[in-house]
Amino acid sequence: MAGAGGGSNDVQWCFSQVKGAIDDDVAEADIISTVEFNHSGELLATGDKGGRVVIFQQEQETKGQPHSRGEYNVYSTFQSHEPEFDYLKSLEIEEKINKIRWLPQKNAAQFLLSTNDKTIKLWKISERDKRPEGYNLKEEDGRYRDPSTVTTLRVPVFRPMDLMVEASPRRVFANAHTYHINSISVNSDYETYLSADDLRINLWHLEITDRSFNIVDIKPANMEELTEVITAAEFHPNQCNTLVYSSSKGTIRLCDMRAAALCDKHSKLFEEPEDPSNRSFFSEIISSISDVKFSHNGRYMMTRDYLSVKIWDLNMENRPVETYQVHEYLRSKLCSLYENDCIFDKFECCWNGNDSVVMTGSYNNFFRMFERGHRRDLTLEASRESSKPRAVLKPRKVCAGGKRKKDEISVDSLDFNKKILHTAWHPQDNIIAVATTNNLYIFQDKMN
Amino acid sequence: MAQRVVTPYPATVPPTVSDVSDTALCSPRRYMLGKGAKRKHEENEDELEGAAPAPASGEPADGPSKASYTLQRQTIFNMSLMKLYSQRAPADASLERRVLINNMLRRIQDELKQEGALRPLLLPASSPPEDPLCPATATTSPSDGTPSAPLSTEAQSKDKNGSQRPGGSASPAEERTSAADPAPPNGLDMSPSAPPSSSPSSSSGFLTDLALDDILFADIDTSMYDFDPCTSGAGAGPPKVAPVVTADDLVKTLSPYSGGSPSSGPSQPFKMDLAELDHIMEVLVGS
Repeated sequence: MAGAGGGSNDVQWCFSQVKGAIDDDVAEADIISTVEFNHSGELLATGDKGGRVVIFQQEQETKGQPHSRGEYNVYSTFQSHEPEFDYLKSLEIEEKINKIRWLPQKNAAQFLLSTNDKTIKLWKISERDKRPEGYNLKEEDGRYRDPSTVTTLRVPVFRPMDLMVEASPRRVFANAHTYHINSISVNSDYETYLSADDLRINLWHLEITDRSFNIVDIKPANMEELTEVITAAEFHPNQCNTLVYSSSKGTIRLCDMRAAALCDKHSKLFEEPEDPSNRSFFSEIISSISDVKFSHNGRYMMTRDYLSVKIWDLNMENRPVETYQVHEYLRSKLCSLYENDCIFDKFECCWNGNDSVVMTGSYNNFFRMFERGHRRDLTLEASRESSKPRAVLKPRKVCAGGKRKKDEISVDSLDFNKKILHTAWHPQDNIIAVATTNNLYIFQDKMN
Repeated sequence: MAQRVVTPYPATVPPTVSDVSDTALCSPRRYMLGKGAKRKHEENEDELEGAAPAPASGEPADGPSKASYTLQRQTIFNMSLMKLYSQRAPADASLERRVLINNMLRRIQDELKQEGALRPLLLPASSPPEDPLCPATATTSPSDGTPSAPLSTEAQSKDKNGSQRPGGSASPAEERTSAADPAPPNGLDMSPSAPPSSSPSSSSGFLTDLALDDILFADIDTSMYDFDPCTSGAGAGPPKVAPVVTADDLVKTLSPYSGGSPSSGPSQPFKMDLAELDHIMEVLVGS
């Protein structure tokens, strides 16, 4: 089986599955807002705008089909968040799931954190495949038997039943954020996690819901002076004292919780000086970082801004070690993208299992992969047209100007309503989950 | 968010050398910026997309390039105002978005202020003497009568609590009616466009924090009151009527620039800039 290290040009990506409604009429509640594999890759969770979480489970690989990995089928669906109304501020609180993060598995049950703008919930997903039968005093349907008919004593026994997957909320972490939560991240100590909103980052203990510690606060005393907000935050995968957070001005701050209780002073500040030849009115907006992700080995972090993906060495603050242009052809369209608000789209990014390839989404249902070692990049499309089982995906190319070759797509005919904001990569294998507006595509590498 | 971005100004396409052949080959499709037109590749055709803005240190030396830069800047400025003040669903109230747009407005505002500092001799008085609420404003007599005509109508609209647009200078922000906040009358002191040296209050800027930021960044999100036409009077904050801005407004805004009268001197476009901002300021702070 090809390891996750296969170069993106050695790997041929094939369509595997698509989930979600087929028709083009997208119900608002079905818009996918987050995608996340669990630590083993066996489970794949999605959250949507309607506050629901759908978890898919990978089938065990069958001996009869050695050429494909197990399919992902619905394992559990539950309503995680409901719409709320903040009476004090006369504001509706959306139920949209902003982020899902899995906890590492400790016992038979699975746990995940899901959050909307204001409240984080810890969900336990457990299986039940046995039930007690043979009660002494009750009928099978639960009604109590007439005591005079009870003549023998018997003890109930567990008998197998159809598998039932239950999701139950175990903790609700509420009322800690004035602004909208954009990130949650589980610490490597598996006891604490952080939640970040536009201006503050809070530290929670998974067992304690009535208290959280504020560790970063960038709210100015005078809100008129506000010019920068927090856009994403994450704990280091190995060092439980280290976290990073990114800002709308294109900076990333690394904080060490050992240094002080309040981490307002960063330990490291990562910022690349602006390229003067690319300066425009929109420089600040396109420098705003929409996602930050540590590599699995903890040596690098990746940031996504509007036009590029940057990889930073944690030991070098003044510039990234690698920069990949996602859709540079949009640089000349920034004014229009500002007008239609597309310039504010928040794209996420992800690493593959061994940190050799990174992936992010773009418009027209395109998504891009960058192979770090070989400096190769690939553009693929998630569409119904290329959705035949095990069909190999054809690389796509956008023509920026000049002569448009056959099979190329010109910039002006890109559909800016079809954006891929959320992607996820299986932690070990070459399986990826790509979310279009309301569909989830699963692609895997062609196994020979 | 439509795929086709409608721009009210002349349809533009980034200039490409081989445009001619492509339009024949491409099937009819919606373009981002209107239909492509057969044009020659020209240096100075930097419309909104192509224009590289001037470096911070100075302005472009040549006329047409500066005009297109100013045009682009003004367009972005108007767009930004529309984005902040037009009626939008509460779900769009992303703080990051508002902060970025506000930063954009501030930057443009600072640029204009800098330009103002460079040309102290050419500034008219934009606060007319008859305005009782701006006693401190220095007034310099305009060199010719033309600028004062639109300015005096501005004065009238300042006192009125209406959204009437004076004949000459139209601006998308004009349709905002009432005060952006319950600022005391001295808020209007910030309107003068007199040279900074002669009017100390102008240092607080045109679109000042009081007007803009109170609405944007208050912990109690008063921007919700914008959308509720029935806010109760008691302590609910200032009611605002969201402006209805159409593409036509933008066109009218831009026409003073693109169709600048040939007889006007080099100071004329700049005067209009200030008059423009002035008027926006008045409407924002409230009559």
